[in-house]
Amino acid sequence: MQWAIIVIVLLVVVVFISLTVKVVPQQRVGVVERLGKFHRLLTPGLNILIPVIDQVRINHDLRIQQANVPPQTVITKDNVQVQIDTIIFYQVVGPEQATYGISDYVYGVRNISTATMRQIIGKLELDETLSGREKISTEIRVALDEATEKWGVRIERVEVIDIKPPLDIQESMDKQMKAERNKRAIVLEAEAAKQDMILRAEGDKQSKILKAEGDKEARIREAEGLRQAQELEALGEAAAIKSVAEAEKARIEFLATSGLTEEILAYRSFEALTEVAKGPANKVFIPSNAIETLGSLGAIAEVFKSGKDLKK
Amino acid sequence: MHAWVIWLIAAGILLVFEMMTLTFYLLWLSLGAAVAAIIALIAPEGILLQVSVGCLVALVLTFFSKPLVKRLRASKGFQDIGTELVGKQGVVVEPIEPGQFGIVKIGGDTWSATSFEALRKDELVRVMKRGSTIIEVQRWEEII
Repeated sequence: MQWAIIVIVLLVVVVFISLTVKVVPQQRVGVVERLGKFHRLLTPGLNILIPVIDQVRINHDLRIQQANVPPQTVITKDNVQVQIDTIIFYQVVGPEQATYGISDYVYGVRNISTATMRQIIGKLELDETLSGREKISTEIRVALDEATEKWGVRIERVEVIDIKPPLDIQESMDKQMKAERNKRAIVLEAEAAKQDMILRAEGDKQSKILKAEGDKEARIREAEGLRQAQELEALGEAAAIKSVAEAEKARIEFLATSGLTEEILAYRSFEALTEVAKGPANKVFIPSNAIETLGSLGAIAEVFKSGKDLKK
Repeated sequence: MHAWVIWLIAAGILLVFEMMTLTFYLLWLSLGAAVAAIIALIAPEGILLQVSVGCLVALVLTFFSKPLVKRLRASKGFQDIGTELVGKQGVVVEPIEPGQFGIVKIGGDTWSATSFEALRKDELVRVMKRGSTIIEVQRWEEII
């Protein structure tokens, strides 16, 4: 009997003290209800409760938590079904609202983010969804904050992990990419060929122009040379004629001054005779006194000849 | 075995568990057991007396831990970034129209914000009030 009392008293005391003293770790918060009504929050550290009257309804973790959303099929504006894989980061910021405002905030957070995501993606075209993750997250921010204000839960961010378009669309996107690259390659090739041709033509043109210019200059120089040579020649000739004329003039003058004698005239006639003899006519009339002179000349020649024979 | 030895062993075990778990109520129970051991040393036969005195000491100590709690309250622990938002400076990322929500960036975090005035992008704002997810901001210059 005595032992039973001891055990009961010990048990009551142990339970009593365990209900009274509560140690709450950091970043956790307990919601205390006094006789069913919200009383206060249990903040981190040592807390004393009145047993039975006070009751801890729920403990909230105040750290940022993650919730994976299973891949969702979403339809974009241009009617393409894409699989979208998101992760949600949320944090309890108002423990009272998180307790009394919503029955299960984790479930609520998950649902509201997928619903918002659908709504936002539904407004975008496929290409925009693939490239505009930044835009998606800002739009989600406003929509979610508005919805979760009453829940005491703040959705830190909704990250799109992966957007998977359907297989056939992915294939056609690949094809498009390939075709685009091919196009670029072909265009580049054509451009190279064009440039090649242009460069060649330009080179050809320049070489031809240079050649023609060279020819032109050569000809001009040649003509100039010819001109100069002819001029010089003409000048020379002129000078020569001039000097001949001068000499003739001087001779005539000289003759005039010396006075024309019979002997000179005879001499001159002889000179003329020899000239005449050289001419093409066969018959030559030689003045008689000229023959006489020739005859005497011939006699002198005979004398010289016989002189030579005698010596032999 | 003597009763006081059993009490002492119980007190020791409770103390060890208390040190491992840090829940505090085991500490009071352990101290109660220690007092019971002293009573057992004086009156080895009165087992009921030992138990009741031990329990009483434990309960009294529990209620006297309230001042201790108050003292511990004063020391500050880890402060969440979100809790100290009021008075901080932020930059408007998405323009705010009166009655509509915009986005304000405060130290790397983006918050939905409302304001009584229209705020353009890249304006500096001060946080005036904080709801659970939406903050109220004012233009920075006006307050100084």
